[in-house]
Amino acid sequence: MKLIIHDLNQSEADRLFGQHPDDAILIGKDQEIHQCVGCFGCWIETPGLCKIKDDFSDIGKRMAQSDEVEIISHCLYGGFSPFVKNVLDRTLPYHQPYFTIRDGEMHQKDRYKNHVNLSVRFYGEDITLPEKTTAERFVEYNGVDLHAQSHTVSFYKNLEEMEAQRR
Amino acid sequence: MKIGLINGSPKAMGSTSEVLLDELKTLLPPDHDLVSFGIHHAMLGVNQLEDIASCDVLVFALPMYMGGIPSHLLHCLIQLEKSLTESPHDITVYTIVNNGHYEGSQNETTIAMMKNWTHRAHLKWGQGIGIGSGVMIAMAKDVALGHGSKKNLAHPYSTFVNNLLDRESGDNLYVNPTYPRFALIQGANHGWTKQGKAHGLRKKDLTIAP
Repeated sequence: MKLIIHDLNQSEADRLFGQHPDDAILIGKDQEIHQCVGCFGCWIETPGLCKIKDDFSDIGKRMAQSDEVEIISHCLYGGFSPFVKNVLDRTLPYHQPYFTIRDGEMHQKDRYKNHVNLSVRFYGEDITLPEKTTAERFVEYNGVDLHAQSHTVSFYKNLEEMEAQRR
Repeated sequence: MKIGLINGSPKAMGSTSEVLLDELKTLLPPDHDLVSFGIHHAMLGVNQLEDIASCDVLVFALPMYMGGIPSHLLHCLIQLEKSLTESPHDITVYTIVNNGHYEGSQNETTIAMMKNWTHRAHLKWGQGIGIGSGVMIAMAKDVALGHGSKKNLAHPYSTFVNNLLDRESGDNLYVNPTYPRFALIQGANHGWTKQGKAHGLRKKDLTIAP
């Protein structure tokens, strides 16, 4: 299954994903999301499930059912837009609380056996060179932290350019 | 000089960012005007925007979330960027980022994002400090800087404060905990089991995959 997390408005999403495969799940701004408050309830009270009652309490489980995660986000300061970052922040239950060493650094142990292929598509008319460099390092970090099988990052000026390349 | 100390943790109380700012305050001479701000939600009020814009120096303290800035703070940075670029401001920005992992260098991208924001807001970048296992410092609230868990923080904080008071820029600094990594992992993992137990869960319950 493919999980697509995006920050597009409805008409843009319809245009880009109009013919998305049946096994793809879209996560967009139409869904109710609250911010992660760092309570660690998803680790020590309801392991694997976020305690916040909204559309994202089982986001860790949904990630675990995916073999591919595609993120489409406006590039903001070299990272994700607030909505997409909020979704990523809420994936804490995807991890165990216990620590391990991965790629020479301390990270969380995997809760699930899957290793997603992570692809990130940033868009923005005026992404600066430092923002691009930051974004590349950020996605690389996410790849290690999520224990992804692979990670790719690409940049587009606008959705038209992305649409043409994504086909 | 008016120094704005901005706690960007989503936790309104008891955050590591709060402790790190409190520690910084002890090193700032009393003749400066220190103003504390708490940005714990995704919206800033008009008064907060105006107060922040009136500072000469801003010090952000925030936790690293998933390799970057917590989402609520991103909302507020967008608001601030818009408000600060409407008229020129002579503000220098410093940032303290902490994470729950050992290596302070894991905060590098978050600091870079704050620097990128500074440029978008047409402000001057000062310096960033990335602190690993920030919670160890927060737990040692009553320990003097330069001792115990705060041993490795003393020198970087001193450099940071000197630059801040001169409104100078400096290379980013990264701080690892005083303890060896294997000991920290062992202790922290034991701590999670203990916290799970307090909620009636066994160690294997914390690893279940729903």
